[in-house]
Amino acid sequence: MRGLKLSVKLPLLFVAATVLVAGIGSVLAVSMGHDILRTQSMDASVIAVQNYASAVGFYLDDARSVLETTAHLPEITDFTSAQSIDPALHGLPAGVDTPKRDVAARILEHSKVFEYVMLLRADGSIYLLEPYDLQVKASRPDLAFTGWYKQLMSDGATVISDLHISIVTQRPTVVIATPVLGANGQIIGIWAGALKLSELSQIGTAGLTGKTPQRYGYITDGRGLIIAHQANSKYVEQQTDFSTVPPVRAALAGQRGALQFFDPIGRADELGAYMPLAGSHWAVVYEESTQIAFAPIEELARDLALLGAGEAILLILSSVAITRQITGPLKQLAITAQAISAGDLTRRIEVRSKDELGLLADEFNQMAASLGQAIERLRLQGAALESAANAIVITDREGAVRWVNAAFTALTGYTAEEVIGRNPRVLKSGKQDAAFYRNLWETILAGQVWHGEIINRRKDGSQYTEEMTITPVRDERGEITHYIAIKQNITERKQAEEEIQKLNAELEQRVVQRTAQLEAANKELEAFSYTVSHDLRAPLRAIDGFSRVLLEKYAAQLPTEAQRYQQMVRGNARQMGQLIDDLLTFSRLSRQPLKIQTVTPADLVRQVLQDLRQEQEGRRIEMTIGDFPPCQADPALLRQVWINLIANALKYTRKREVARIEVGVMPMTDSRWQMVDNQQTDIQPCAYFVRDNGVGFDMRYADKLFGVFQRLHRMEEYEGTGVGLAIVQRIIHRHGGRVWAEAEVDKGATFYFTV
Amino acid sequence: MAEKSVEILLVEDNPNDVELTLLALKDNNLTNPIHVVRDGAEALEFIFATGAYADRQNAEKPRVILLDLKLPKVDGLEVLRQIKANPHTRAIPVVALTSSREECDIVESYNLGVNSYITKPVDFDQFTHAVRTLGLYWLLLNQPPVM
Repeated sequence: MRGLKLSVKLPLLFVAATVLVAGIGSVLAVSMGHDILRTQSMDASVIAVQNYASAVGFYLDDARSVLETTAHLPEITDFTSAQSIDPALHGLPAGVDTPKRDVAARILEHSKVFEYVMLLRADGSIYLLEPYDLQVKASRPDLAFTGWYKQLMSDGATVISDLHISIVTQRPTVVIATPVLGANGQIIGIWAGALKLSELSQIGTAGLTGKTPQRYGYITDGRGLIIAHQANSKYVEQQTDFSTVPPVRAALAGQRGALQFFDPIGRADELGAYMPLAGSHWAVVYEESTQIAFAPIEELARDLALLGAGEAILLILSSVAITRQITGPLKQLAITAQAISAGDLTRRIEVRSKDELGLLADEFNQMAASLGQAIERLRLQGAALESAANAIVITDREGAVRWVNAAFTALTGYTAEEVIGRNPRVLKSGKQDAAFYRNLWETILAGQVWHGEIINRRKDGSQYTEEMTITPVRDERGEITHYIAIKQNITERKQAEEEIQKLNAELEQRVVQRTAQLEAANKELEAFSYTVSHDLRAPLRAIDGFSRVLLEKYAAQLPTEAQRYQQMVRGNARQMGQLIDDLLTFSRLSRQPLKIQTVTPADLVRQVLQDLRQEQEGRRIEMTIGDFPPCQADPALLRQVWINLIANALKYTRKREVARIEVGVMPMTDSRWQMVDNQQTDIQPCAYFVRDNGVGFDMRYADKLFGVFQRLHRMEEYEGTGVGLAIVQRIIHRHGGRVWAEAEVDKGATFYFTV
Repeated sequence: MAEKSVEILLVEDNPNDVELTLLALKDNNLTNPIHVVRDGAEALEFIFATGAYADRQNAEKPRVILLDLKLPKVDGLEVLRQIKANPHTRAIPVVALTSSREECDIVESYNLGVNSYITKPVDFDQFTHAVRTLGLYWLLLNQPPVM
């Protein structure tokens, strides 16, 4: 069945199913019909057997009553004139004792039941037998040997014999005999008649049809021998023994009823009703062939079988047709599927029906189309993976390699054939410990991505460092099925990194050394400054101090010229002290860290003017202070800038009738300044300035203005150390700003700065 | 001299400065008894009555100490530290005298508990002025500490 094609399977299946259902229905119907018919037949048989038995009973009663009635006739009972009989004649000769023979002849004439009638003497010898032509055929002169004679003699009552061969006709017969009683009641003779068994067999046959009727009754004697048979009188002639036939046996046992049985005589299945015949030892049976009884149902079964066969043929034809319709497109589907599986993804099924097959074909075509797209995509992705610069390894869940790309071979030296099916541990270099791999496996078994660096070994034994990412791949149920590892050779990068680290370390070492050197230098400078401030000033102090003592205590002894010299000594000492102080301030500016905070320049300017009030005493000064926005700066240092610039302005306007000093701020719109300050474009750049109407200076020397110890004026005109503007520039530069000046001789100067 | 009451102790190594300081004090009519020591070690011996000054056990402590910070042997900051670390001498006002304007000195001496600070300027007039201001204050206005 499994090997059969669908086009055979489907019709077979249809037919089998239909036949099975129809068959079960038919069998059920037939079986039920059988039961009904059997019951009906048996009921009918029971009635028939009763009727048949009644008829036979009447017949026998009639025969018996004829004999019993006539046995009392004087003609019969009178043996007074009995003649002796020639034994060779087997009875009275004709014409002798005629009254008796007349009675017998009348019985035979009126009652058709007897074949012959006979009168026996009490000893059993035949007295006479009518008709006479039969008497002469008698093979024996007496009947004392017969069972019925013996029974009659012992019972003294009418008997009906069993079937036996007549001594007269030599054919089977049954005799009814009744005693002839004398005056004293003794048996003086026997009045008997032999039944016409052919007549008996005719009883009740009026309704029977056919040559050998299928429904018939029969009678057996007490031993089961057939006495009468409605259907076949041969049985009687042949003295057939029916004692083995079940209904006969049952009836002879005194039972009545009906049953289905196998008739061993007729060798057929029969239904039969049976009963013993009242007043005799006989059995009466009425039977019917099941062939006849069940004929309607057999016919029905036959019809049903025919119908079933026809139906099956129709079914086979129609299902073959339907199957052809279905399997045709299916065959095409199979052929197309084969073509597609062979790689021809351009093939499509041409089914235009709108039914499920049409849908199936559409779906199949769509599937083939999307399969083609998917394969194309996979082919591209496969090509991308194959040509990827990074080595890619796909393993199954257990870690066995399933696929590697070309970069893998380039990286490890192993070809795909050499590693597929093996575990990637062939690459193990032994550089990583067990804990490393345990962590790796725990990570990916937990479904997480592992990423790390690993030192592996090539096929040729050389080692390399790779950066590897292992990603678990899950199926639709969420189970991990594969791992994808992407490896990048980072050996060179690692070497470069190590190189950089080494260089960095060296550089750091050098920086440390340089810093140490710088710190040492700074320390030395500090120590130098300390020494200068301390030790250079001490002798100056002594010079100035003792000069003063000299001038105060010994002025009287000193000529005027000496006193002037002494004053010059003091002035120079103080000048040098100032120089030292300015130098220290200047040097300190370079070393002090900036403390940048928000500063309000206007407040600083006012404080500075307050501090410089000594320089303003006794002078006419027109001071203008602008409106300053706050700025970010070190307040102490910015204050020093204002001090130096404003002090300069005051100093160089000393000779003016009216000194005009303007302190203010201006926006920087000039492109020249923009260029300088373009790194501060996020803040509106502005420049602070201090403008005076003092002596000014020649712009040719502007570049010398901010140098240490650079002076543009003679000492006797304007005192100073030449450090002030150098300090200003140092502070401004430390703030990332710029300072410059514009001036004209005798017209004044303007100093600008930005922070 | 060992037994006499000293009201001003001048610790100064530079003889010029010693003389000028004494002149400045004199100019300011400060005639209180003055003792001069020339280095830090000697200053400590005098203050704590040890070594050469062991006989000053019972003498009164000076009412003010003028202390140069740059000294041979033991420097001025160390002397200051020991004075201010000892409960018996802690109350003595100490005026630091130095030609240095180095901030670390100033900050350090204030941290150690110096009471005042005079920068010795080159200009003797300024120095005289400073001595007058501070010396007077500590000598005249401050009550001698209870010993």
